[in-house]
Amino acid sequence: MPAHRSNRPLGWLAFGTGGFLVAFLLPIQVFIYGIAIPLGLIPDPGYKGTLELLQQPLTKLYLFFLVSLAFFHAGYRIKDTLADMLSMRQMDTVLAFLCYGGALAGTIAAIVILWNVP
Amino acid sequence: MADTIILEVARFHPERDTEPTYQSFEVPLRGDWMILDALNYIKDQLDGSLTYRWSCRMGICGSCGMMVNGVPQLTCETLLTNFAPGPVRVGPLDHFPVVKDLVIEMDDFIGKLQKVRPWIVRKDDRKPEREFLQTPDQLEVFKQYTLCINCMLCYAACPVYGLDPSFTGPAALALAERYNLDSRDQGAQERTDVLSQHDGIWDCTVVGECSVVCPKHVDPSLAIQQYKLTATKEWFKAWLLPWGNK
Amino acid sequence: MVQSLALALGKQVTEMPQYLQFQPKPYQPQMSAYWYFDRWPYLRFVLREASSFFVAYFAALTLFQVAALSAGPSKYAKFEECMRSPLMIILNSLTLAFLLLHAVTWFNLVPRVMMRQVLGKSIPDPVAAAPNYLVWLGVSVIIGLFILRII
Repeated sequence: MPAHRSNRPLGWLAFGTGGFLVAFLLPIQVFIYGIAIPLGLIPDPGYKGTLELLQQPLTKLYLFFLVSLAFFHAGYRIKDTLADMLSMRQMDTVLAFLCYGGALAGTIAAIVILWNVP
Repeated sequence: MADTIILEVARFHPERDTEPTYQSFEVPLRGDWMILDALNYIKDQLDGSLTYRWSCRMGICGSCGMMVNGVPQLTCETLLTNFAPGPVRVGPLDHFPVVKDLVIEMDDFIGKLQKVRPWIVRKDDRKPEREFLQTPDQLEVFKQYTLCINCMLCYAACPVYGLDPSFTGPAALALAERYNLDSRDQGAQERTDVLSQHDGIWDCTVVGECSVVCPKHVDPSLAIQQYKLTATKEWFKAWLLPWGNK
Repeated sequence: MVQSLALALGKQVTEMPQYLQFQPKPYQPQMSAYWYFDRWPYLRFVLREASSFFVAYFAALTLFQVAALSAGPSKYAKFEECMRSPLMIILNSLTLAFLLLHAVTWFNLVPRVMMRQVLGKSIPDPVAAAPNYLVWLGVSVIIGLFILRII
């Protein structure tokens, strides 16, 4: 493979997949856990209900992909935004390290936290 | 409606100015005039030294692109009465060096057009015996991207190009995609080396303003995003099948 | 240029007449650091990109929620109490707003590119976007039912 070709496609694919997942799946989650339940608009499934949901392997898998790809989606976009808004296009490597490194750290945290659900 | 309207036109004399200033002219507010007609009136009647490019005055040559109240427009297609009561600010296209008044230096743009190899590339050099056949459906795939008149409004609208002039830019990338999608062309591999660089398609952050300002509805943003899909597929193929055709 | 042509022809370059040539300097415009405030479409673009900060925030918050869940009922109760604080309500409402911005701009933009690539011809924008909104509605209802333990 020609060495001078950009490796952006990999990050872009994660960005695209994450973008779809975030667009389809995250809003309802934000609405329910962030607004509806705290404001008492809908009945709270509570500790028991939520734990029961989370103990299912399918839920863990769902959350892993959603959270991890959300981090990579955000990492790609934040990197571009910082490069544009702060005119930092020259600091490409530093930004890549921070943004994708952060996404990777988030992914590892997701694995650890989801693994440790009792 | 008033009889006249004020045009604030950018003036820049390279011999004595360090930056452009704006000079006000009062021109008749005629219902059938475009901004270009107002500029021609200024040059004919008020100040013959006003310098600007124009040619066909019917939106096909791409010469008369300028910033009108901060928006890149073809001045031959922009109705003067749209801005009544005025004033209207007319300036040179953004993101390009200004040579004089409203004239910009377009060498960078021309270079980028050449860089993407905008011609039919065939794998063998033999002279074809007959014309290449193409169905209407095959034409439909890329026809939209052939409509570009090289007016550079998309470059003036693109903040990425403004921040980083090494970006290949909307028109050049749409032109490259026009040839990649052409069924008669076999040069997609050659162009990929240019397009898949950091300053090729990947600098584009999908602001989308290029497609909004395009007077010919070429939709260069669509072409670029299409190419991102193709380039990603090619990238994975190159990694997974390194012995593939090259 | 004349000199390089002469050199290319292998001729001896002797005395070239020296004259002061006027070299006009074009004006190089600089983009302002706050370029996105210049026009509304640019600001809209930056807001769309800024939604990514809120995406990262809520993904992290989700992990916090799961961790609180694993730590037991009292820790989870504390988490829920924190979510009820005015600051969090405001922050999460802002997050929802930005996520809706992300979703709407995404559905209006990405599917038409994919369909153009696959179908090879342009289709009207609403036709490309509409199925996504329907799927979004359906998926949201299903997930809601799961979260509320109705399924």
